[in-house]
Amino acid sequence: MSSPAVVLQTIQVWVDDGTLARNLPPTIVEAFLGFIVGSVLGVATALVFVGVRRVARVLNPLMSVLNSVPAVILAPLFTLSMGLGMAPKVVMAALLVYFAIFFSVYQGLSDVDRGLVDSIRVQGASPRDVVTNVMLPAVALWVVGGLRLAIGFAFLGAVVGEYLGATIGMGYLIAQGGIVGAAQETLAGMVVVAAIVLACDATFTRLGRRFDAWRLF
Amino acid sequence: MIRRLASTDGVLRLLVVGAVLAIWEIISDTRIVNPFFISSPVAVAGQIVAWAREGILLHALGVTLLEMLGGYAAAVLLGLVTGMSLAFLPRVSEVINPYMTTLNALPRLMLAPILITWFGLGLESKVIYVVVVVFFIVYFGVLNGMYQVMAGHVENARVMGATGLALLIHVYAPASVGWIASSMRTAIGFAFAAAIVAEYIGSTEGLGYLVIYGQNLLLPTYVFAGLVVVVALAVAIDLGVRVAQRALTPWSPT
Repeated sequence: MSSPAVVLQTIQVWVDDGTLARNLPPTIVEAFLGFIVGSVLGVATALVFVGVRRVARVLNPLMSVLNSVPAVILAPLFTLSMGLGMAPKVVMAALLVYFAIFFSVYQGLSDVDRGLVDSIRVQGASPRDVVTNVMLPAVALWVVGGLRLAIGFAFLGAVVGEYLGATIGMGYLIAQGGIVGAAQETLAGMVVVAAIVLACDATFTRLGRRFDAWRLF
Repeated sequence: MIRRLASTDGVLRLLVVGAVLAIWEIISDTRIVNPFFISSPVAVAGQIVAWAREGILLHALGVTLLEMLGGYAAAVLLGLVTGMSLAFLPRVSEVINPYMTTLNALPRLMLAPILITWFGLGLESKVIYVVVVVFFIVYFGVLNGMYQVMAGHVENARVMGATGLALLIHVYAPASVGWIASSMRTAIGFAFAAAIVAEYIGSTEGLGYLVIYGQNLLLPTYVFAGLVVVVALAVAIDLGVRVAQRALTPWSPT
């Protein structure tokens, strides 16, 4: 069952003997790589969907069907095809992030006030002006909301990927604790990951507030 | 005109799916990618049929659905009760809610290993895990719904003599049912994911077990066949819930 004191002690031991220094970086790298790749692709897809109506009409139902499938369950597929290294974890994280960001940004872009777009067009704005002056400001809040959701998914993807097959990383530590029946190690690993996720979450929440301030429409 | 457009879109959509399957079969048959790793649609379909014949599929399906629905039902009940009571206890919810928000922000799906360490490989650990994952979603759905109720409606009902249960049934429940229904829909996807992930981490039966068994013995056909069933089930559940939600809250736009 373990206890809070034992868990903290375990973390202290990990800090002292270098276990944390060895296992934390791979997880963070996987999560952030997945986060970046997934976000970029998610935003890009949303832009294509908004720009090319036909693509949106054909693929939108497929996207929502795909989204009804919780992507974490695909983890064994990536472990099987990409092995025990970092690649399957990055792909897992990226996939989870991708759907979160795509739907958030697409929703944001679809909600942009047509009237605003039309009125600056009438005044001679180029498509580029429309994007920088109307689309981006309108969608910023959605992006921040999406990113907040996505950072949790990025770490989830990395850690679950590590549960299913890894030789290093926080997920590996947690899973090992489970296998040898050392609950304090499983808990300690989870506490470390949770602390990082919550720190990221707080950062994005702050960022969101800043955007909120000038959100007038 | 509209109908014709819709049908060409439908055809295009099917083509996209067909193309993915065809490419998969072709790169497998021509050995562009070693079929050992990616199996093939034909082999996967064969495996599913074989499982169905041997009764393996039905048993695994039953186990996974039991874990998922058991945990889901418990979590929804718990979420309804706590959400509704805390909506009437502002002092308590003021103290508790910051913690609830924090727990809600955590990716709770990563908790599987500790729950399996504590509660074993059987049904119990999966049901508890599903509850842990899903409860917060329902709780916040209920709470948001309760806060949407118009103060004027409550006051009117109070003036007319409604108290306690009557207030809940005639004012709060109808006003918040939309929020509750949509949180229950989100929750069922997570319940399913939780049941499957828990089976990956430690189990002796269920659909997730079939998949992870294939991964551990390096049998890609098992992994793909298991995942096809899992994905089909996820889509079917979402569809079913969507229909149910529409029936329950016909005025909502989704």
